[in-house]
Amino acid sequence: MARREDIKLNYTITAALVVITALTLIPLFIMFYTSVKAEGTLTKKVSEIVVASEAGHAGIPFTAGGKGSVIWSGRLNQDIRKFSRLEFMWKPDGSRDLEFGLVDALGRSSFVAVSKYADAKKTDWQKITIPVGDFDLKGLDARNIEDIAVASGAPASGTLYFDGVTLRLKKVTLINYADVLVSGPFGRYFFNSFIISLFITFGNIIFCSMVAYSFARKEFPGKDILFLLIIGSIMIPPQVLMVPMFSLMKNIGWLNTYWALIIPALTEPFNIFLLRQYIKTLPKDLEEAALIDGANEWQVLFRVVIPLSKPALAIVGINTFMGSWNTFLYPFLLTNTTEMRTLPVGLALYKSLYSVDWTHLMAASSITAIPVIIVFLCFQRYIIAGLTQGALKG
Amino acid sequence: MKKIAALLSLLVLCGGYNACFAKEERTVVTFWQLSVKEDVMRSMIKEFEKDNPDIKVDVQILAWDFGFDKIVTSIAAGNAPDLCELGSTWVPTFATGGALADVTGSLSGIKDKYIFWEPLTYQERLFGAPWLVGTRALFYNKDLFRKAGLDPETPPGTWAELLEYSRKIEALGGGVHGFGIYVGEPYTPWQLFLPFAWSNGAEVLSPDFKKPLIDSPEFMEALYFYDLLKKYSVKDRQAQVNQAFAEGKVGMQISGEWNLMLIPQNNPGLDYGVALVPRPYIGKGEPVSFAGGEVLVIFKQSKHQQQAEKLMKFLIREDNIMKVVKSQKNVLPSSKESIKDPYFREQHKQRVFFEQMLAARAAPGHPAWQKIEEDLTRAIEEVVLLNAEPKAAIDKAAARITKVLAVKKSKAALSDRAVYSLFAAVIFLIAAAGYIWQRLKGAAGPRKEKFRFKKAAGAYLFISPWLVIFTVFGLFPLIHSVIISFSDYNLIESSFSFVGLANYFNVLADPNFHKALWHTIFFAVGTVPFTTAIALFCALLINRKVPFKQLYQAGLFLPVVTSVIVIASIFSYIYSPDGLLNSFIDKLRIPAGGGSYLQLLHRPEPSWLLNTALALPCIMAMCVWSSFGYYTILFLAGLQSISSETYEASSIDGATWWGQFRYIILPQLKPIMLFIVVINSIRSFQVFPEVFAMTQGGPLGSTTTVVYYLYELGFHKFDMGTASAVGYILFLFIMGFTLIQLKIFKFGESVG
Repeated sequence: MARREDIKLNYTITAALVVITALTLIPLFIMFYTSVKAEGTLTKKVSEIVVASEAGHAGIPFTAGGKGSVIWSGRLNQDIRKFSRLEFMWKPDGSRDLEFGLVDALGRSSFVAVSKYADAKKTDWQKITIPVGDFDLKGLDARNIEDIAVASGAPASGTLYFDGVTLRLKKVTLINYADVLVSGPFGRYFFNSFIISLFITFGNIIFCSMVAYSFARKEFPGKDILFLLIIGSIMIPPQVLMVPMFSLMKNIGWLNTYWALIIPALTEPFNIFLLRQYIKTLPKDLEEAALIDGANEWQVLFRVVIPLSKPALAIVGINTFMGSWNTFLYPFLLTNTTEMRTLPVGLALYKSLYSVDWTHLMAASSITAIPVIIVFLCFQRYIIAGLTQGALKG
Repeated sequence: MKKIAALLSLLVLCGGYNACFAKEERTVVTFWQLSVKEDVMRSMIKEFEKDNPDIKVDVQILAWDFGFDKIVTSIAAGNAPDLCELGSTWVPTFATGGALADVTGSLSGIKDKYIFWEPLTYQERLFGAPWLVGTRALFYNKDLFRKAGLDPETPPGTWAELLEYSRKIEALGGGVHGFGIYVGEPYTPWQLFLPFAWSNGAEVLSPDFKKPLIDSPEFMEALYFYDLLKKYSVKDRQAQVNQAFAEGKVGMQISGEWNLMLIPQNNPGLDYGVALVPRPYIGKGEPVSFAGGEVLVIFKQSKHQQQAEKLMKFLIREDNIMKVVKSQKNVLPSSKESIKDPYFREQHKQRVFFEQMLAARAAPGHPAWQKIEEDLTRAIEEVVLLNAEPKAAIDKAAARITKVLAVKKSKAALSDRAVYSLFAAVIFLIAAAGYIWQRLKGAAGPRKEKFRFKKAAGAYLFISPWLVIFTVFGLFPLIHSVIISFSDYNLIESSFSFVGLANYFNVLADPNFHKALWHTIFFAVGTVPFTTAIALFCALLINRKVPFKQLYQAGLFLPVVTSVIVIASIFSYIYSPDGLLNSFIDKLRIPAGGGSYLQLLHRPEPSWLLNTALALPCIMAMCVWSSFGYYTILFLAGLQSISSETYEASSIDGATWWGQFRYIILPQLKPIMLFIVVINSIRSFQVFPEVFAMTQGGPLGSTTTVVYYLYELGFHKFDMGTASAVGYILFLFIMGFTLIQLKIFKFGESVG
């Protein structure tokens, strides 16, 4: 059936779509990618930290202290959990019995013997790699490791030769997510956002279908003016309504309640408008047939119109869920306690005034984005469900 | 107004829920703050509550995003906290507005132990306590110093050295710049420049605030110096310069303590130093820097002033301030004694900041400073971005500031009777709009059939959920805000007097509003057709029989879930002077062996987002790119209602691709197309977050849209009356525009 040109055209179209899709996905990709970086910004990745580059090249002579007496230390001030391994160049001299270690802000430390990682036969410069996991971090504050230190493993004297002490960052880490999630009662924030979004989404699907059906198919006095009011209410800049809305909620005692966040959002004009327009594109035959068969208006709505409107309802669902899940301004204005915070409000506390901690900020953004993505993936098959064809054939 | 509110509240309360607070013996003091991390603050509050068993502190951490708006909104609604953190520049405005409690008495004993009182003093009374302060010091990149043959341990001490070092570092090339100058946003340009003028002995305003002194020789000398320095500087917004410095691309910058956190986070390996800012000449002038800070204020509305004062004094106690300083690491204490703290002995860079703080100054405490700073920023941007002659730019700014200083606030009080006439006016307007609408409709097509009452009742039942919710939560705030738009309503003072249509006339006469309206129209007209066309095109492609439909669908839609900040940051990078777009242009230009038209492509000066002609189109491109996927999905849903038989039938009839599109797809898609065009237009006319995140209305106001203008007016200049008037002018404008669109699409008559 398909002609050669058609196949060729389809290939071109597929290729074009793949390119467009890839282009639009870049920001999402950058967001997720940054959120699993150990350090860096949206556009820059850091892979290592040089702690000391020249300190021990010429050699640091030391005399016999006790076991564990510190010979050299370098300032680090880092969260050690971000790193995968410690690397440096080392030249054995006299005593091979040296230990490298991490010291936290309170002076607690953890050491490992260098000899375990060294080539015993070599006497010249050699590269030592110690996995961070080999340090016993249990008693330490791993978030605030202040110094890297070299100590003698046994009472001995000699010269310490080392160079290029470098900490390699992990390529991929979930630590940013962990940091964000322990910074507040995120279980509660999730719960609040979820409850609010759920009610608003289902409320909109049902109520907006009713309202839209009425506007699309029925005749009643004042219909056009009321419909213009619906569109008109989208046109008022929300900034103008902030103060009146706040004082209204204060006067009816709804500050810091779920009601204030759910009830006003149950019939979004946007959804009514969208559904009305969609229902208008549906063929009337089915509804008329159902009415002739003795169905009442509610049955027509729920048995005929709503199933036919699945593509639009899927969009209403996704859109409403996304909107209520991400909404920041009203939850922020109208709630006052930690218990009532929604996810975006909780995450906004992660931003500070001037400096942007990109890795954590992106982890926070990803945490908000993931549920929306899941909801989208669940609903999306209805968008191109193609139910109409089947229904009309019957 | 109050009666309506009371009636409404009664109605709704019948339905049943009231946040009920358990009666407690202890006095509850509410405290809102932004700076201190939650855990640190909670542990301090616990200690306070232990010492004061009769007080319970309800502490709320506000987010920096819109945190200020929340404070303002709450004050306006009479719901302000007892104690609150406030940026120091806002204090004069709040104090003159009469919103703050006088705390002179309770602080008199401890005043000598603290710095940073100037911004808190108004008419010799104190309106708050200094808490956490901050200043700007010189950051210099030691690696770049070495590369440029400079001594990495001797930062520049004078202006001449600063200029010379910048020149040498700039000469290294490779995208490296000598110094960083802030432009393209409202606050930082003057904050960076003023200290140069102050160092040279210049002042912005005369001591009595009667006239500007910015045309003094000292001030001009500083600006001419700045004009020289710009040659060796990267010109960008502060965050971008900070970022570039952290990435090792800028030799020197004058910036705040937050960089001490930012640099290790973004580029831990950077070898840099911190020093006092340079002074004009050896032996002349002081190394004066800019001081800002967070202060604690008590609102007059507070019913627990004594308890709030107790908490305030507790929080500014030296040991408590140091707790915050040590945990935040990006602020300085306001207590003088803290210099002895071991923290400053160990943290050398922090110590430099503390020393700089002692020679730092805050912005003049003029209540209209928000307007004066706007004029300063404009003059600086004209010099830096447009290469204006400094003297000319300053003369213009001086004239503007003189005007601002001359304005005396006049209260035109109208009787409350006006409320009722206004209600009548509103209803009349709605009726008139309805009448015009009916006429328009009547002209469009034949009259519809007569209604049957029963049928209509059923229809009303179906729309009742919207009707009820809209009446309570839509109409009431709407009418309230319309009334605000007819009054002189200052959010801070909560003063409310009717001025009739004065706000509307003022707005319509304001050249800044004309500019904003023009930008908005330009934005809408420049984005809506593109977005719609691209979206329709993509939807048609996906709707063909191609593999992986769901993949494209997801791929096009999901960018919508990415927050505006992420998209704005990525695009800021693309548009930055060393960003993707410029390097792309450079690449294109290389292969040109001769008269290729590609040679015409140039890197814009100074950069994409700082060029007054290009900034808005840049944001528009971003908006088209980030929103077309969303509309693609809407089109795709719309296409599903066209049955496959229709396609097949037309194919058999031998319809061409264009014929199918023109005669089958387009008519069927009309309702959805109307929806997309209307919604997209409304959103474009209301564009705000993108502007806020990308340019904050700059450079030189070239991206200020109507809603941004409105936001500045309402929430930064506190003139909510005028802001609301702007909102309704925009509303009428969008309404007119939409009615035209509906007319074009023959709304109501076309389908069904």
